[in-house]
Amino acid sequence: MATVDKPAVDSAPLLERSRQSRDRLISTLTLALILGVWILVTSMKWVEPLFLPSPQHLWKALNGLLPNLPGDIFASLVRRIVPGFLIGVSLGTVLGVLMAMSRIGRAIFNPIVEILRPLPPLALIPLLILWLGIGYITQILLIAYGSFIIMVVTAYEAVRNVPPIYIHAATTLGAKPQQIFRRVIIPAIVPDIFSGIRVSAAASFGYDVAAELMGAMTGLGYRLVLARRYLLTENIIVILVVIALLSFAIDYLIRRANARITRWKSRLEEK
Amino acid sequence: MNNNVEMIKLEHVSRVYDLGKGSRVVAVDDVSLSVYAEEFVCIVGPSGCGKSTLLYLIACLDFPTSGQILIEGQPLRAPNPRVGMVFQPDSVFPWLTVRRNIAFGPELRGLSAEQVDQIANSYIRMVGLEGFEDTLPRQLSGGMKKRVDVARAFANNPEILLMDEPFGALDAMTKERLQLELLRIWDNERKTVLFVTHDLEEALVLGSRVVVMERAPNTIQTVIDVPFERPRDLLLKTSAEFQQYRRMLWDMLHVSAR
Repeated sequence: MATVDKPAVDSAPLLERSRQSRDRLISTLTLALILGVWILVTSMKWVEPLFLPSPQHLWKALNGLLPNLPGDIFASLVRRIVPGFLIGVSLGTVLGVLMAMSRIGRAIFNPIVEILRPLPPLALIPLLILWLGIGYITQILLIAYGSFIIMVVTAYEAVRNVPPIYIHAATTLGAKPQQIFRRVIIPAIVPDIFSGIRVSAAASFGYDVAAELMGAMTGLGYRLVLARRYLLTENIIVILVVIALLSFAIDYLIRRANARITRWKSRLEEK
Repeated sequence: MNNNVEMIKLEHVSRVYDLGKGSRVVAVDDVSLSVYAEEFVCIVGPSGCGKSTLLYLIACLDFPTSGQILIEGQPLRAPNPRVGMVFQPDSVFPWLTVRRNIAFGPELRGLSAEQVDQIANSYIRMVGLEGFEDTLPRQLSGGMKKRVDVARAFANNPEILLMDEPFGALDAMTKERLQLELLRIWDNERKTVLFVTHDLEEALVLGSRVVVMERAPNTIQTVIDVPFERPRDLLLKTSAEFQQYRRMLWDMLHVSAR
């Protein structure tokens, strides 16, 4: 229905496209500059390889790490991050929604959440170790807890921010409370829940590495500990790149799912 | 339907909001009014005179602090699909297509898929949204969203329809077109309509009676009968008699604003 008839409006996409290609050029140049300085500094031996290894060092390190990489990724991603993240996200979402929907639920859980929320999850590590030792359960629990606390707050706020006009409209059309929940509240909160899931996924990688640093015998974080112990800076960097790529891939998948499921939501174009 | 049935009866209805620290706002002050079956009654009044609050009270989205409201002789305790409402702000569900929005009420009642489809299609046609059935609201203009709102309310087949400045946010031309469509739909399906507006011409084009409300106290000042024959069209606005009525309403509102 939107009618575009002014030439000034017509030229806007063109201008936008030329701006986009300019932005891309700037981004590429920045990366090229960093790469160039890195190659220059390492090939001229201006810095010790211990502090900054050269690209060739990294390539060798990658080849050395490659045989263990599938196992390490499996140990971190499949055994720890995904289960911890899923447990935390589902429990947190359910509790957050429950607290927003029910006064009694809020009365019971709000004090607990309010006490736990300001605590950085990493600060719980000593207590977790004391209670449960350094093991798989502790690691999963730390990751799950990190996602849980993000999702409780996100889901709670999401439900409370559902515009009352939608609930009024549904009620006057004859919706019962259960129908309002299923047909209005659930769809209305999905975009916010997805934002929380993205934050939780990124945080889960962080908590996994922290969990492995405190004493695991497998995984990418454990590999980092080993590399530091043997002063293999190039291994550290390669592993960091692997973690970043994995985290990016997971985020990409979540973003794709989000775009599919919440197609109805109008988004501001990124400028 | 018998036109003497009192569909809505307000008896000394007041709504007082307690703002704490002893300060109170009387949003609706001792309003009594009867609306009969198949009547189209418009409420006009300055902003803050309690006309919207009155609709929320009748819809049971809010409750009077004193007095009572009877719907076909019975008090309601919770919102009921017999009393539909179209709101001023956009209340189209953004996550549902045009068709699923319009089908919302029938779906809730658990009608069969064919029945739901049949109802949805007929109201999509009635508001002229053919071709947009599977469009999401974010791709619709303000006027089209309002059509979805109106169609959704009619598709639920309420006996009473409350409309709270439904066209208030639209530009003048879209507004006139929607008024015309509403007249046409209402000529086909006579519901009891209570329509709040601050637009005097809108009230006179649509209404069989116009209730004039005033501020402080927020109550009914006068009720006038609108004698224009139906079916009406927008040419009515150019008649001398229409302009006299408009002037009369204008004078009433400006006396009360003084």
